[in-house]
Amino acid sequence: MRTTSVERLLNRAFGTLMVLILAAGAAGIAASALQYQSIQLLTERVVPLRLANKQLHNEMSQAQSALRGYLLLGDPALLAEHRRHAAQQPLAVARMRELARVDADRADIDDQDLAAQAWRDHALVQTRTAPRSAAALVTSERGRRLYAPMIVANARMDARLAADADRLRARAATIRSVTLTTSLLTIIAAALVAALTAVRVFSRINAPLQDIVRVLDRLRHGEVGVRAPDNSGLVEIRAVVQALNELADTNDRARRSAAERTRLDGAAREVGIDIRQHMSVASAIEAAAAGLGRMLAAEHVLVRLPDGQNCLWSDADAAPDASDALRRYLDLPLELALFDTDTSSFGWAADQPGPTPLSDRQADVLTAAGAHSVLVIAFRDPDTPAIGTVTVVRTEPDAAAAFTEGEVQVTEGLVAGFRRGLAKAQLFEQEQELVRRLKALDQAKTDFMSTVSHELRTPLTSISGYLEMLRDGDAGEISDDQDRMLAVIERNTSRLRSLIEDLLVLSRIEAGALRLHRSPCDIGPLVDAAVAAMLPAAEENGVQLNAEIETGLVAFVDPAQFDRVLVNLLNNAVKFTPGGGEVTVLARHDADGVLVRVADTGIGIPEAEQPELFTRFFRASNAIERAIPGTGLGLPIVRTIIVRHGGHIAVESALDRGTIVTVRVPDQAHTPAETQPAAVGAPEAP
Amino acid sequence: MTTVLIADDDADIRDLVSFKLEQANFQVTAVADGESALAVAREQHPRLAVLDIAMPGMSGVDVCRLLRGDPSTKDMMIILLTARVQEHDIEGGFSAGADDYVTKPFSPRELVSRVEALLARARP
Repeated sequence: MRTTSVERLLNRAFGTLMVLILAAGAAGIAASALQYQSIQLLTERVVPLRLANKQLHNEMSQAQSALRGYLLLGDPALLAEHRRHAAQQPLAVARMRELARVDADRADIDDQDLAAQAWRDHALVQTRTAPRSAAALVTSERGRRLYAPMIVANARMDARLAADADRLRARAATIRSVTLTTSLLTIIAAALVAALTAVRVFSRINAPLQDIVRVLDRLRHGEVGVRAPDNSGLVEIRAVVQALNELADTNDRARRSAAERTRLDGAAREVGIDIRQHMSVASAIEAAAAGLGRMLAAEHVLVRLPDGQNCLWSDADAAPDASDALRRYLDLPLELALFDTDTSSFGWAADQPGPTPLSDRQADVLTAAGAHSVLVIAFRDPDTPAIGTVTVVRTEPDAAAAFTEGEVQVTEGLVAGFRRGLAKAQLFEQEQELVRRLKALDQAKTDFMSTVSHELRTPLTSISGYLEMLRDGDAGEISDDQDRMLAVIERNTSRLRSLIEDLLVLSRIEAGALRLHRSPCDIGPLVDAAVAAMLPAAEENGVQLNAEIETGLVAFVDPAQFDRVLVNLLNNAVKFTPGGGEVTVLARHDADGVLVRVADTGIGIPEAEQPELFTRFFRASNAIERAIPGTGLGLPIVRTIIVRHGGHIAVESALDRGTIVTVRVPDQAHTPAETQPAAVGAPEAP
Repeated sequence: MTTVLIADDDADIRDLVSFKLEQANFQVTAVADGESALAVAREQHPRLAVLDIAMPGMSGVDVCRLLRGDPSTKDMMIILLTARVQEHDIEGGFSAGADDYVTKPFSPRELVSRVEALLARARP
């Protein structure tokens, strides 16, 4: 299509229009001028000349008729009239000469003047002739003959002037009609041109504008690939279309870039989550390398930690020999030489802006391995000056393989997160190691306690055995003093024995060797039995032992272990209650299971010491003062058993007023899942 | 006189038990290890054996199991002595065929009562 512009199109149309209008105007002006000229001629020459001609004719005929009358009648008045009119003739001729513009006029005037002159000369002769005489008749007749040519010339001139006037009028009329026609035609032509131009311009502008509107509409509805046709013949429309298409391209690029960024961010988040899930450093590095590689569609990712640990991830499709070459890169020491950035590689350091510290040798190895685009991100160990690097390698030799700013930014963020995750994994590993060592230590302690306890039992057997035999008199009669002393030995042997028992129990519980054989069992009879077993000791101490036991107290416990709890608590209560005191055992239903409360009116526990109650070997100061025997292991054992049952233990105590120990154990419905044996199906909690 | 075998690597305990059993009119043979216990048991066929579990070499449980597996000694009464009180020890002892189980430290008087009780129960 021929290229033009709207401006030129409109200029041309308006130019034509203007020419037509000017032409119409010029024609009108010219017509008016011509008409004016005709009318001018008519009014300035023809009409006055004709009037003057008529007046001359009038003067001549008046003079002639007055003269003839005088000659016939002899009336002097007529003679005076003749003289007055005859005198007017030269004046009329002179006025006509003034008005004459053309030679024909002048010729006619000369003719008349000549004839008038001849007539006037003869008129003088006549006036001198006596009136009413024959001579008068003769001269009069001659005078009449002289008058005739004068009138003929006058009439000829009048006829010519009349013809002139008619011609001028006809010319004016012609000019008027020609002007009218021309103007009409010009206006019609102008109107046609205007209409034609409007139609042409509209059709040439409208179609592409419609295209643009349609494209805009489709773009607005998400058809991001659509573009307006760039084939308009109009420069301005083409400019608009180009601007629109450029805008759409820019938008498209921005949208693509935003979408890519969103994808990268999402992928980075997933990789970050994946990295954080790995609690060991080695697997975290592997996860980071693989995640980065997939996220950035790179062929190789090399991670090197500040402490020298490293990992190489290669895409499944990557050349295996490239991987071997890159392994050497990891072995190279990290030198603080500036990374030589070439056009296809990108260097960036996380801690210092600017190129990454890579040695030439490293760069050479990368190049040898076929690296085309390399993104190196350095990070610093927070505690040491050592630097780690993440090197992402793309071997695709096309321009699209270069790392975009968005990719670099996302990777930076990911590496920063990776570094933090790494620190966490390292801490976790250290922690794990610590836990392992502590566990080993704890196991060693438990083993040691167990062994020591066992080894102590054998000599204790000899001591207590021989002691018993001595006191039984197996070695002969002993004195009372000897028996008293042996009783002291026996008491302390027994104390040593219970200490060993408790130590053994505790070490077994702590070593996890205590297996709970739990079953739904009625606590009532257990409490009953424990109270009954404690009655002799209570009576001996002068302590009243009461029990209030509800029926049907089913709890999910190991009866043997729960019995150990009850015996321990009752033993403590009786032991620490002076004579005359009271111990009350209450066993009843509780919201979550079964509650057993042992309340005494004993010596109590100083408030400051209460938090220590469950510490192994801890004994209350007032118990030590009063030399009440004990190992300080009872309550720790009780609490451990109760906790293993998923229960709670609480101690309330007031010095010299008594102690209340409350134990709660769950029934089966309230047993936390983790403490239930797998074989026992946990019923739904109500 | 009823013969009773006592096996314990600790001489003091061996003497203690021997003394109490002899006092209770038993014929006592005391040995210091499992192998000797097995030999004596097969040779003398004591009515009852008191075996310490933790002995160097063959343990009391091993001896118990072997005695129970031998038709000539399978009816012998066996009491195991041990410093171990864990469930699996006790279970191990009973599954090996022990008639009773006494944990150290024990009362010599009580041990003699148990020996007498077992023998009385076994005597038809």
